[in-house]
Amino acid sequence: MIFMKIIVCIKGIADSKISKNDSDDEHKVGTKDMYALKTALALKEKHPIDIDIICMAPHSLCGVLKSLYIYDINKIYLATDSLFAGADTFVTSFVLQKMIEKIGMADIILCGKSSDDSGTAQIGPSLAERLDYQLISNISSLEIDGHHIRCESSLEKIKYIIETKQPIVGTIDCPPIDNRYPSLRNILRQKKDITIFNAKDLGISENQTQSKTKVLKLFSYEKAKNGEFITGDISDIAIKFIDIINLYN
Amino acid sequence: MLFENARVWVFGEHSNGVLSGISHQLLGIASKLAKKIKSKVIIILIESNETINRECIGYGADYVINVSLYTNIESLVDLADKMNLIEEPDIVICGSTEWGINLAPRLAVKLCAGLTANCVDLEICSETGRLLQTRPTSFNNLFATIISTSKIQMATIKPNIFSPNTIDNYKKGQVLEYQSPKFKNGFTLQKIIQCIEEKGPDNNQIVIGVGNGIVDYHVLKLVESFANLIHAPIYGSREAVAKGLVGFDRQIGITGKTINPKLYIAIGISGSHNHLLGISKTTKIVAINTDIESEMVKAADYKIISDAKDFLKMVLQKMVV
Repeated sequence: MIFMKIIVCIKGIADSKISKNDSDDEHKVGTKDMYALKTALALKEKHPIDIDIICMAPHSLCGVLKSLYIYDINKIYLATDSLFAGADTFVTSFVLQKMIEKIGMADIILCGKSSDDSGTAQIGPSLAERLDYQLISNISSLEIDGHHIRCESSLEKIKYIIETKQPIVGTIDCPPIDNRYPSLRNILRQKKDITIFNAKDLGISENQTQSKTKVLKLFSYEKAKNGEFITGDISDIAIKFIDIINLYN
Repeated sequence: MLFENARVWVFGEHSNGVLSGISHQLLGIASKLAKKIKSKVIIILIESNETINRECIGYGADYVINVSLYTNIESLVDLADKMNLIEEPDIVICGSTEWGINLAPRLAVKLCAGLTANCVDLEICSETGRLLQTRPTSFNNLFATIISTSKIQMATIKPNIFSPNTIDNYKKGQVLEYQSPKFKNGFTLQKIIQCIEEKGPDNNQIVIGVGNGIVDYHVLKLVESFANLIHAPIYGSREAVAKGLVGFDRQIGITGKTINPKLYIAIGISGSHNHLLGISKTTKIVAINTDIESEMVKAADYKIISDAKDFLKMVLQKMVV
């Protein structure tokens, strides 16, 4: 029996739509991280693999993470510490690296290509560099064949079929082909606990949690653009509109 | 391989034997920054040619490093590591393209550098000499100016945000050849199964954008008919992508495609911060929207307050005549 281990990295995103209690603690799993999770779960329906979830987040994310046990997940780990607050991607990817090293290296690490909020798309490649894994980005389909990994990946306008061996870091940008929610055979599993690590558990010193970037200031500015209203009845406006197009065409 | 006082590096891109627009833009901003910190500019390219190399020099490079033999991203990261031993850079910039965003974070880890993605402004602080990296936040109309706490400062820039220099055909520069040793890479690129040679929106004079205001398939059909008549491609906002009106690769925004057509026709788009940042400052915008208070209408050069369906029907009538 071939056993493969998949680790899915999750980021908790503030979900403004469900903050009906004015609470800061309303979070959800990032959209693309969910795609990554579905990709892993689809694989599990065909192969004997273990899926672990890791996340670096404030403690308030416990609830959301625990609820993910309704899917066929082996273990869920949360790294949380006041030292991690405000961490940039350099520190975040470092913490995730330490988590992965602690819980046991995976054959495949999956994460969403970019988060719903900052959208830097830096975690996947940073992790690949830190772990010395291959990086395959924009994975649209993923298959395992023994120790081989076969996947479809896009770069620019070209789609590639890639055959390689583990270990890899894969990033997911689009919903997987099979975008339905996986079966919830394991409702009882919700009783499982999540494992929590702090900086000390991961062997991370305060020094190592210093971000490499710092926000100097926040500002907004009004884009001053006056422009003109095209007026008249709809027929007039349409004619003027067509004139504008002819100017630029 | 030798270079001196070249502390601003950019990683350029080219395709089909032509230097990409992003490379021009990278060299433009790099040379401006380099001047401020009294440094030269290096551009690193994979498998370029003599024409491309000369063009790079003309657009602002003092050194062109042409990497050949083994040219995957791991090789480039290893090269940067070696270059760092020769001379530590102050600034490293990559394009925020599909390729660039895979490269930049890996470089940042290797060089222990603070990296700011999707910068809309880069300048040198006159007091500290440090790079001020400005990027949009996820909050509407709020920008953040960021500095790296590390010595090496990294940034990525989206296409069409920064301007290139005018080419200087008399500029002198040096080309350095680097044959990369084999780096561990287990990939077998088995097959290219789909190759969409799509002309980017940069090549179009007019681009159409659709948003949430396109309420159903029938209205989309009207947009498509209109688009066909004026030979314009259809792109969209994040909501349009989520609704399935346009594909994932057709999202315009600072986290999507950043475009620079002469005219952008925004139909039923509210104009989120993210979306507006995807449109070049020089592009003229027509907004067709029922909401006079929307950000898209406010930002537009030509404002049409009308329902998309009625308006498009009228336009099609007039055009077909």
